[in-house]
Amino acid sequence: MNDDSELDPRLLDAATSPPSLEGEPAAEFVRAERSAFLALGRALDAENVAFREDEFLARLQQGFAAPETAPAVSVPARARGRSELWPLLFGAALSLAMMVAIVRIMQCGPESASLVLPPPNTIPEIVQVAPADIPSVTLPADPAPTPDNGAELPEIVAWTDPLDDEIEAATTQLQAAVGTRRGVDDSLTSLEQLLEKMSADLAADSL
Amino acid sequence: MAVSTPPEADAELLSRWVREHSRAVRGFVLGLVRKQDVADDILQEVFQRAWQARGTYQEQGRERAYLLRIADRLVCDRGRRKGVEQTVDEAAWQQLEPAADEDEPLATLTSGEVRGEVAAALDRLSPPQRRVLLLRYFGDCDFAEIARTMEIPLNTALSHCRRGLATLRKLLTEETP
Repeated sequence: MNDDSELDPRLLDAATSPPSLEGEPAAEFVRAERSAFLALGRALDAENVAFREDEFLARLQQGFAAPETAPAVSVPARARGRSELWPLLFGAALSLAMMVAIVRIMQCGPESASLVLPPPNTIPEIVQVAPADIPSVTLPADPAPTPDNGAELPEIVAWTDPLDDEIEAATTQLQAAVGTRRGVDDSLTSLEQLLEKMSADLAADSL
Repeated sequence: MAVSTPPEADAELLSRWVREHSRAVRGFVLGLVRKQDVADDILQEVFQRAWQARGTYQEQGRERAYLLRIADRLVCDRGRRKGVEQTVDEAAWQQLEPAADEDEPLATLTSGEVRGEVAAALDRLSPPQRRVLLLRYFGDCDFAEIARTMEIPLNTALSHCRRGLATLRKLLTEETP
């Protein structure tokens, strides 16, 4: 029985040389190794007898000509199923969200839309700016209608904001106090005209 | 995988590759995977990849080694994906046909009676030993080339060959009186 260490590279080469170069082994004691090696290879050759090169070549050329329909890397079935599930889930979620949105829009029709009114405590007080003798505007006794006491109010018409009435009343009182029917814009315009006139006078004096 | 149709000028080259090397490459793959259909699939992929990369392949008269290197990597990749080794299909091995008659002591291995023993011996080999021996048999590769193909040192390749041969010899001679 040979020891493994006896097979140096040269003997290994002789024991496993290809079948086409088969001849007498370099040493008699590698004969058994070579026989085992060739027996193994010939058993595989025998298994390969049914293989036909022509058929394989035809199949290969057919594969070359086939359109690229299959992916180059096969995806595991589990991963493929998972990847196909995500678009379905996303589409279902999107459809559900759209349905909910449509239902809510139908529930919130224009007739049921309520006006957003400021609470009575947040109505700003109109501050007197100029001239100094203009009295401050007093708020009406009745607080602005709120959704809480809306049942006692007549039907609310769209764009009928009670705050507009308050502003209008305050403007009327302000104009009555000043004695002129000049609005804020008119006051600014007159002030601008006054400043232009003074500027012109100063320019004329300097010249 | 589909690639472009080879032009007429290259068709002859492809045909020659198939004629001269496909049987050996298939035998090598079959010795590693042990399944005919799997070997066919891998063989086709080997030639397709080799054909795609033929532009980068430097012609050195070693076409078979080039094809076997691709086949070896594909089989290794498949083994990593599967995570398990293929087992011997005993019925398939029992159907092997005799290849040749000779007077060697282990010539009876080619008879139907002991082919199962060859398959069992192949199973006893470690995967590196199997690769070295099959590359040596089917590829006509020297050990330096085998070491490059397997990306292992030369001495390691020699060691695998030495131990593989010893395993084969022991198993087969013990079973053959």
